[in-house]
Amino acid sequence: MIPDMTKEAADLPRAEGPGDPGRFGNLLAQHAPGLAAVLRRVLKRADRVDDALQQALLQAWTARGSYDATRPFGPWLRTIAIRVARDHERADARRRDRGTTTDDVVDPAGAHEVAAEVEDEVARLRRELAHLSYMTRRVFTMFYDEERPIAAIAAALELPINTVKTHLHRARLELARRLRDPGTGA
Amino acid sequence: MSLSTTGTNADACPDPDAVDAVLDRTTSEAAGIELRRHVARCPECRDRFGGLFEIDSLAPAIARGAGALPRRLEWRRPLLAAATVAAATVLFLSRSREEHSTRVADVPPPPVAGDVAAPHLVSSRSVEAEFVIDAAGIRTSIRHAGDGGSGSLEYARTRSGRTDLCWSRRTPRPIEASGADVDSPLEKSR
Repeated sequence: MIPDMTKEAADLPRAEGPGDPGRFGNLLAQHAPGLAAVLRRVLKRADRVDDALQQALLQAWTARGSYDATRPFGPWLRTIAIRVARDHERADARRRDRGTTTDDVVDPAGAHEVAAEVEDEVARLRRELAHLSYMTRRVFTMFYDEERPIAAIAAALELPINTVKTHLHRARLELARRLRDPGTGA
Repeated sequence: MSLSTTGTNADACPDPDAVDAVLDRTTSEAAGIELRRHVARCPECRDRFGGLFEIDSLAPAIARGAGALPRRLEWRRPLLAAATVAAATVLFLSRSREEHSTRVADVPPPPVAGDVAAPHLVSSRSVEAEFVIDAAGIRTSIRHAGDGGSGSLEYARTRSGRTDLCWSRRTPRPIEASGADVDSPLEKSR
């Protein structure tokens, strides 16, 4: 039975260093919903999402030694997820063609291509961010890049807390829309 | 324990406010992890909130370096508009002066209504400019009124970089007794 990595991650004691299992497990648990969402979009069959999610989390856990903690975690994990999803698609296609069941085979090639795809996607979303208002961008950047809590952002910008939340909500909603429909940019 | 392959929905699906609270990091860490686990496993919640969590996952990478973006909308447009108006005004005045200098001899003396001449039009030249910034680009409209007649210049710069320039000059008209050139909104307001 494959362990529930998100549960395991949540149960691990919080540790100090960025490369330790506890910290890494918490990162996996935090990013699991986003991972499931991208798998759902890449995979043609919705019932394959849970298997692919499990495999992606397991691969990330196994490969955690190769993660460069100075770089954002999301794109690294997303690269793994997309590769896993495509491997699942290929395996499904082989089963359909041959009428046999084969184990999923991870294609060792293509890792760089997928990583480049994810980088392009991030760059595109950064350009989309530039279309939002200055204050929305500022709040988004302070929250996600400078990792400041909402109350601190509100104090620094002299805005009500609810206004800061509204800016964040608007930014996430707009970027999610443009992630889903790349052609809808301003 | 394993992830359910059927995406079991035993625990209640969160409402959007609860999701926002988790994404805003205003809930406890344990509550946040529970909600994230639910969204990861629940097909309905994946469809409903998945995009937000995708963005949340990519956001640190998106935001990295984005803080250096200038306040583009706040300062660049007015500056560009002001530069456009200044350039168009200079162009307009230079052309107007040129025409005026060649025709001034032909311009009849200021008309007189009764014993009152048109005092402020004899030697004055007025320029009224307005500019509009909209989704199509920047449009500048300049109207000119002076003793040599009146004219207007329309200048438009589109977002694609194309520049449209339209110049028109009306022939001098007999000036009304009040001294106002009827073509000039500026003069009309006097």
